[in-house]
Amino acid sequence: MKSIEKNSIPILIPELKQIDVNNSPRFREELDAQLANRDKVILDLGNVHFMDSTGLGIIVSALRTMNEKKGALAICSITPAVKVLFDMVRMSQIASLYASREEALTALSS
Amino acid sequence: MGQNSVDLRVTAEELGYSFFVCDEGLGNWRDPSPELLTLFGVSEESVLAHPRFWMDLVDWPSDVLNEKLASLSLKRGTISLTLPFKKENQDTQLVTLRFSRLRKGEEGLFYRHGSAEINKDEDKYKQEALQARDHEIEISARIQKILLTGAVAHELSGLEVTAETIPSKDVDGDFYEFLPLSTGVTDLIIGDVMGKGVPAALLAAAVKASYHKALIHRGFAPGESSSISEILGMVDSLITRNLMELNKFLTLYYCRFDRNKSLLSFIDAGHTSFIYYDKSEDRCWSLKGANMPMGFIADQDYREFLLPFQEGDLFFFYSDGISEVRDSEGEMFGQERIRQLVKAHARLGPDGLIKKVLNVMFFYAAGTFDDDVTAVAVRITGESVPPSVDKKKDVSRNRPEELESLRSEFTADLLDVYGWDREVECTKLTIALMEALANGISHTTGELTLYWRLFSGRAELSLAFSGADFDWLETTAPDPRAYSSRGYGSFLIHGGTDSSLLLKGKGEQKKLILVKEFS
Repeated sequence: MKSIEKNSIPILIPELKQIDVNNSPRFREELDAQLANRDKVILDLGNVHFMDSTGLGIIVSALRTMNEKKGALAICSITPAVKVLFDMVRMSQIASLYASREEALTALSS
Repeated sequence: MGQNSVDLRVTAEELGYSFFVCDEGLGNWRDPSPELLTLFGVSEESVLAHPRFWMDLVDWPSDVLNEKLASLSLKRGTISLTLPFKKENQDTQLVTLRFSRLRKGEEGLFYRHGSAEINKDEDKYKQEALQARDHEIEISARIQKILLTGAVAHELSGLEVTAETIPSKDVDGDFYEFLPLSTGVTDLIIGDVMGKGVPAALLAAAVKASYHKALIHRGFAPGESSSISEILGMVDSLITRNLMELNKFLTLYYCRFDRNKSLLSFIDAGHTSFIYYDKSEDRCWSLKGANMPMGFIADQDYREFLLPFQEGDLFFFYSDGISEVRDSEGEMFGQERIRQLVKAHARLGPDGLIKKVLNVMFFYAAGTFDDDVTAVAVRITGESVPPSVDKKKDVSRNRPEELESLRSEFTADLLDVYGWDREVECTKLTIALMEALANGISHTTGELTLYWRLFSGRAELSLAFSGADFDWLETTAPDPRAYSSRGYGSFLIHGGTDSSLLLKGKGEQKKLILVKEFS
């Protein structure tokens, strides 16, 4: 998973086209490591063209972790297929979703 | 009459018994002993001229008697039957008939040896009670024959059907009806009201009446048909509260065979499972739906399932009178035996298959059979419209990297057939497929076989594998506010499709069928 920093906020960019039952253990491991000791994080899902319920479960888990430590996990640049998935499970009830990286940065910087 | 017959007569006279010989079907009598002629007040000549003379003397409706004889004639061993006989200017007299297998005749047929004996032990009160009971049987049998089952046209639009009901001594509430609604669309409703006798038969008649009322109320017309869940919901609202007040319930299948779409839609309200014979694979599957029997709770939400079919496929429905029949050791016939029988004899077609199953079952029951039996078989005839895309893929849990290319190919096919303006629905179906694959992979140790068939207006997917049972009926999504990270899979399968159905085959064979309409 690629990681860059802007305005002291880490932006995590998974380089997987598809997050599914096969590669999700690795994705979970990398995401958990990046979230440790951080209270504001942006997850840019622009590369992810498809995600199944195991990928979804990992992101819900990450949101819970950040929520428990009163931190913030902003998700941006979701692709159409991931948006359909998020809409189906009403993800917007617990996640802050932004159209672009810049919008997410603005929100977390304020 | 030969020497042996004369000897029999002498023996009969000495014993005071009335003997005769009859055919396998029990109806045609010959070689009557003089005692028998006296008992029934007939001459030897009239018996010769009219071997079924005795049936005219029985104080039962002829169709009830014929059905009774038909079911008894399938039994092995000695058959005993007490019947009320009417005689001119005399009270009805109870006569016990006993039949036992005698010998094989020249024509290769079995014959039976029969005896008739006046039931001297029965006092008048018992006779009246028996007659009253027989009267109820007669009414029940008539209700069942005329209102609940009745004749079925052998050929319906694109379907070949056979239905058979054999009432037992205590007629219960088995019922069925085929109703052609429009060209190529036929409804089948098959059910069983719990309980026996006239009350059960009347309730079954009420259910059928409610079904007709619902069809009329929903304004059924070709091209603008109400779905089967809407119609059954209406039936539910008409009768469920009455059923609950009466403390009664019923189980049923409501099926719609649509030959234009080559699609069966069905609702299962707690009935015994049914069998689907897939001709192209020569495999038999056992199916069930999701609802509770009608009368358990008010205002059920009826879940409709879809199953695509092709020419030569066959569906076999049966009442628990077949699956729960027991042999002399008390072992139940069971659903697996029925599945095997259908697999072995599906090629006989609906008529031959039902005869075969009923024969096997009667012999299995070894004469102790005493429940109503209903069997309905439907075979698909005529060609179907071919799909625009028809693909088969072998998926291995050992090649997980293939999932991504499989998903891309599937999505591209969907968008190609249904267009980019249906992108969201195509994505939902792709999500459902990937969840089904993930589920299959986690429940099997071997290969999975995936088919996708894309028709104009409908996508059909099937995923076959061998593995343990899993809960495929869960449709509720976890509440995201509870931050639940598990339990989304089954919801996504159902949410992305119009129907998700698990078929169970031999051993641990499973097949998940997903259907989504794009009309």
